[in-house]
Amino acid sequence: MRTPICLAAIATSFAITSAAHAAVHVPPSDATAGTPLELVVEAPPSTPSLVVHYRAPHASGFTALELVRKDDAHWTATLPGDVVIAPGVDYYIDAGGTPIFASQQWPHTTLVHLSADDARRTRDSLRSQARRYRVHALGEFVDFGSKKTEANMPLTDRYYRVDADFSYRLWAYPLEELQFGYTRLLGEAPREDMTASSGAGFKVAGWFGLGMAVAEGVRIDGRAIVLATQSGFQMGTRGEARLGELDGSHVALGGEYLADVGTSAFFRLGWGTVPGFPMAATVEVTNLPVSTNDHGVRLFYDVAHEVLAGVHVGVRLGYAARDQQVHGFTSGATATVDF
Amino acid sequence: MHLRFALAIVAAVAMQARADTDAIVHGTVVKVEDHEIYVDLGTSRGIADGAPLRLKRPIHLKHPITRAPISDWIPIGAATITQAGSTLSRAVIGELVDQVQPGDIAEVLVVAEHDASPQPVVASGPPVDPATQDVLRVFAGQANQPIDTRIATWERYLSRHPGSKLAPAITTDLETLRNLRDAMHAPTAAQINESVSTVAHHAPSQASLAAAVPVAFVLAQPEHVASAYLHYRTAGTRTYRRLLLVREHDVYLRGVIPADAVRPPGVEYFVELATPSGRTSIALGSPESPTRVEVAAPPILERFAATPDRSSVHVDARYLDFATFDKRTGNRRDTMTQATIDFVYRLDGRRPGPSFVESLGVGYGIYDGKGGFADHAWTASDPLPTAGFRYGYADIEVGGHLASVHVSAGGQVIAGVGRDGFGMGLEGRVRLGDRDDTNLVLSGRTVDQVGYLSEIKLGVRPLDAVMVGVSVGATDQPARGDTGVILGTELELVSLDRVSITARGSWQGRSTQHGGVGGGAGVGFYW
Repeated sequence: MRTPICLAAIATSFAITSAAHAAVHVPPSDATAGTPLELVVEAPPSTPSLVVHYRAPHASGFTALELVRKDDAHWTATLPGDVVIAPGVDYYIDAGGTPIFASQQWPHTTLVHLSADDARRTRDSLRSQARRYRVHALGEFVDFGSKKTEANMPLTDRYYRVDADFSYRLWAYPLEELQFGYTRLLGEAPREDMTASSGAGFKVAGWFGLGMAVAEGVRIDGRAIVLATQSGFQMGTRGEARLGELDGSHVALGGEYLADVGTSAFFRLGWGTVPGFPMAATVEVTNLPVSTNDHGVRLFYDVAHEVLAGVHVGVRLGYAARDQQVHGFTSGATATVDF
Repeated sequence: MHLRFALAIVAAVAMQARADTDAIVHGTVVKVEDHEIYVDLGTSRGIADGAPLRLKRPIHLKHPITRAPISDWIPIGAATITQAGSTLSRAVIGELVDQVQPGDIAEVLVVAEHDASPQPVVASGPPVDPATQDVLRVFAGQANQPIDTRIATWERYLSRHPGSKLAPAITTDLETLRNLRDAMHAPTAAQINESVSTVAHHAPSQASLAAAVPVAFVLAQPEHVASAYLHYRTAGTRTYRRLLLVREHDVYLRGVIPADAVRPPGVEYFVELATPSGRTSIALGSPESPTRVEVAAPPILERFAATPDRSSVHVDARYLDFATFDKRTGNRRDTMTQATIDFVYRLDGRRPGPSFVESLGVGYGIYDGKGGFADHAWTASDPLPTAGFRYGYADIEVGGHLASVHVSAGGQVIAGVGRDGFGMGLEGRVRLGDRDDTNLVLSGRTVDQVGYLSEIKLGVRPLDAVMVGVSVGATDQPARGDTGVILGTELELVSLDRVSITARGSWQGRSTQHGGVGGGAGVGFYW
């Protein structure tokens, strides 16, 4: 039992002192947000009118509420739940206009706590500035450079990719977010016999994703993808484990599998240490845009900026190589709208 | 004006002391032995066996208003002269001897022939404000009082007048008195546990991180209590901090536990009461079993908060020639070029802090090399081999303090492509000392198609703006050739605003005849 002193144990003492101190109030330990808060004053029936003056956090003035008799020795008042707001509710009590507990100049604050989920939801809401929807688009062009065939013909190795998605921050923990999206990835890659390059990728893929967070800041995103490749209907998947905040400082490890098109694994380090300019650097190993390709390594750097409230635009620059002699560059752009 | 009036009060106290000396002979304790003391008073001063003896401790305080030095005393105890000599006398005082020390005042009552009662002294001076009058009244009432009473009196005053303009000066004097009391006799456990009063209190079950916690207590016997202290600490720390509770409406004690103490896993406190005579008692909890309020640890997300000075990017390039001084005939070229771009996020900031994972990084690099062998001469039929590797990596460093030395361990996972296609690599390292100060790093790295590098590097910071590094390494890079030695030095300017510049020089060789010089440069940006 946390209450350190049992009131019953000292009831006798208070009975003695009550003559000298007509009204005694033991402040409640704490309160739960949104739950009415009962205040009790021990005082004889002859006590002048007892009034509690209370205010919610950041409220400018106090609201008066007269206490009513509960029994011969106790008076009570219940503060409405809508003023019981974290971090605490302020109040003082007077009898006939004379303060008997705390004062207007220095009211007592009873701490108010949110439930764990509510507290987390509040923090998430603050971080996102209460914007629960996101529309995001990314376009990038990735060039691994061109090799030469034995006939001295160029073997192009490049693709472009467009992702567009919509997210809803559900905050029904551990489920944080629902995602729907569309991806287009088309390019050219050397054939297996290295005689020429041919088209690769897909024109359309749709996907559905969930963002799960077992703890605040520990996030696992999963995505199921359906795509129509050059060989027909195929499936894909993507996963990402992340510590930190996607739009701020974070570290993420993930991978993606797109049937026929290829696989990739990445490690990303993001940082939000420059106000207004979230950045990230990602190292990716991939054989996109075709699964028969050799694996290459990419490094790309993203930086974004909020140009309007909730609207971020960004650029991506990078370097890609599939062997030690041939390399190319990555460029891209992103746009994000939160509302 | 206040000064004149206060000095008048001081003079009044002094005059009263002089009136008392009419019937009292003053001396000093000159020696303390087992259960007895010697004082420098004897029959030559009218002292006789059996004469009553009072012992006092001289104290030096400051006036609460004028801050002028004041000499006063506090009573220690009383005894009788056991044996009076001509100039020295001996008194057996028993257990009281523990509280007496040489230099204490000894006063022996000599039968007075007149009434030595002091005449009332009326202080004259300009009127002062009520607050100052209150303080002067309390101060005047403390003259010659026991130290516990003095402390309790001031505490009572402060608890009822926390906003007094004189509170800072009184707090200073109070601390002097407390220190004096501790030096004289620390209260025993039995004394502390003696009950003065109880308090009613509902402790909060939890508190928010770094948010002050208001607390209120209701006294059961307020008439027994002069003042009360809240002793609080962050759970897990050894010592308590003390806060004088504000007395309000006679029965309430109120205070606020400061936000800086409200840290995970919780904050603990107990309440100590003092009577008007200075007796103290625990009223709620105890030092061993305090009341506890839980404080939840911040979510992991907070570890990634947008704190400045945690991010950096370094761009480095180095060129090593293993054959600069190889004067043998033939093409003995043996070079390696390495360049990296390295992004690092410091979870502990740029200065060491309480973080297990100290940094995370990601980067990209290239190796390009030619040759790699000590005694090979390349010809048209045996052409100079070339090697290359393009790679990305993820980096982590964890650490902490062992016996006050910072120790960390780090590693890299490397993935890249080279002459033979995709390949992997690993790096491991151990660092002794802070990375921004003197430190020693032992590292090993192996990369597919490139080779290994083992290195010991000592970094020192002889100037605040400069770091100097010296390294010794062994490697078969760039193409898993013959093993060579690299002796490197580097100089890093770190005082530039969010920028550092590095210059490197090295000597490396795979044999006595096959050696050369190298160099490199780097630039770092911090934000």
